[in-house]
Amino acid sequence: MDLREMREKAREGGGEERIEKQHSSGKLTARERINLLFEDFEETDMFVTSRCTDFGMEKNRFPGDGVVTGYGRLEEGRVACAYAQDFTAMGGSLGEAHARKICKIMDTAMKIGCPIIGLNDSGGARIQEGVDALSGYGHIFFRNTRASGVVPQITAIMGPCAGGAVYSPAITDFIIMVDKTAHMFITGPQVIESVTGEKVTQDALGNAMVHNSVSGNAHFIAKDDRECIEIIRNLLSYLPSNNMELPPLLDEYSEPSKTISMPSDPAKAYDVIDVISSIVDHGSFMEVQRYFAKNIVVGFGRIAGQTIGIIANQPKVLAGCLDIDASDKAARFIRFCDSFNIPLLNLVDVPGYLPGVKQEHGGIIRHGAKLLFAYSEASVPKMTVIMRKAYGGAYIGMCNKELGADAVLAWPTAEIAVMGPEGAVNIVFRKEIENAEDKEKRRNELISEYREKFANPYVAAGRGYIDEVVEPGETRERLKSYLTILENKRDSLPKKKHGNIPL
Amino acid sequence: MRKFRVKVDGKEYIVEVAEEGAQSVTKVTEGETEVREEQKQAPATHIGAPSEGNVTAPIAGKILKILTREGERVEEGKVLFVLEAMKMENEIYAPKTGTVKKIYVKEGENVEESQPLCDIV
Repeated sequence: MDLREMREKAREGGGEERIEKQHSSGKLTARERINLLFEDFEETDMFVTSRCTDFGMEKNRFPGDGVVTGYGRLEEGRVACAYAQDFTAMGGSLGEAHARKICKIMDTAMKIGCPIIGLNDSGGARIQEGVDALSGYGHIFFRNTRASGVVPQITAIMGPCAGGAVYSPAITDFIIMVDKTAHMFITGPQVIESVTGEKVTQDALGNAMVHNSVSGNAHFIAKDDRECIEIIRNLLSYLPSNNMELPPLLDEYSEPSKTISMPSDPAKAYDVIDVISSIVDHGSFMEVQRYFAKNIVVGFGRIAGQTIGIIANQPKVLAGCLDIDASDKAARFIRFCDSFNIPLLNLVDVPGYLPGVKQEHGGIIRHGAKLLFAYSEASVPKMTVIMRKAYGGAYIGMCNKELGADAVLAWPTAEIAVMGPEGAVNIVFRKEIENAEDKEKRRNELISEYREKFANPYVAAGRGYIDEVVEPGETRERLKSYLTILENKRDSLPKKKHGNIPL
Repeated sequence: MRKFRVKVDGKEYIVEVAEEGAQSVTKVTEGETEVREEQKQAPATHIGAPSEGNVTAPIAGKILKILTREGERVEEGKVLFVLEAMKMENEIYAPKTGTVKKIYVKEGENVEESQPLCDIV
């Protein structure tokens, strides 16, 4: 066989029949996926094979060992490294050589400082290779961790991903799962049934929507392979190649088409995504984890072409309360943005932490602490806009001045207070209300007095806890201006190995 | 498939039981005769997955308004209830298009988190 033939053989993967099967199950092959992702792609380690000789494996070898690795140029010309598991060759199972190829391309990405994209479609560990397969996973987890915060790591789940295989994606920054074909779980339905007796289908246990909405493992759901690759490309367009660079700055952008409208009744909810759309460049908002902890909205957007990370309370869901999942979701997103020099915009309308035994026993104290930790630790430009309610601990939790916000703006509708008027009056004026002739009437009088006096931004503005009170319509221009002056912000943490975030 | 030895009125039966999600099949062997029984549908197990037809309270609070009635055909996203919680009027939407089968609450009633509000089929 000459080189040309050897290349052709390698590119065939598992052969025509298996490729056919891959297509008929609604999936593209590893190489088709790679070609959609990159403008041009150079494959490396095409001739690497397994050296396993147990169980007759010497007769079952595929050039490339079930994974395509290499580097290439993205749409905008930047370089990225990638690996794509080839389900047609030995079910994309991970053996020693397969893992070594993945590690090698990760090492390259770390050396040159470019994103690592993993396209997963694998039956899991190659059992015939025994401990060598386990060693392979260990090497990958280690590199994922060491690369975390140095280069962006994005993982797509485009087929099965079970057992040890789930943890590499989990350590990376973003997971995209393809609807219907992707599944993730540590132990599958059969094992679960035999151990706990719980009956569950593969879908109910760990399909794309379960991990997007219930477990919070995944960040995006794609309807098919093509959309999945589209999401990766779009996501990368917001991110720098590594932690030493700034995110790409777009020269061209259009002004938002919406204007901000808030309901006048503070008890009425609204969709905070409308507010976001009226602040960021037209069409630039990309929501992350849309289906998980919907009481907080996080995602990327641009202001005047510059990438920002947005964290916004969603009054439409659970009144916009902070809870365990919302804290986890926001804290992780904040830390990603801080790692990669992406300024933060916090849109605040929060009545407090979600009350309840479930929350307290579930550990809202330590989960909520992550949010404070992530904000305080972040040294990127931090801008906070208080739209309406900012009560109590949750006001601090959404990055107030004291947690290091560089700019705190408040709208005239803002209510910055230790708690809502009703609660405050019940505590402060308990005796007075008890002694009143008409208790309800007196309570209502006191509530409206309190609201008049404290449920506004001017008490906090008078103390300098907020920098400016602005009209909603002025917000975008003010943020543009703050982003410009904060461009050269220097803020460094005391020298240490790393902090100890309450996990 | 699991085997059980069952005694009824002193007579011994070997019973094999296999549960297959919705279709539970019970096979009873009585000497030479074989009796097969189709059991009624077992409810599908939802572990972690969001239930689709049952609307529950996302947060503890008071039902301010009921904006639907039993038998009404509703589109996905229609506001069914207004639930006052955290001093906010939270709108509870129809999770899917269908018919409101049963409403479990009354206006002014206090509800706990996860308490059923209505069924949509």
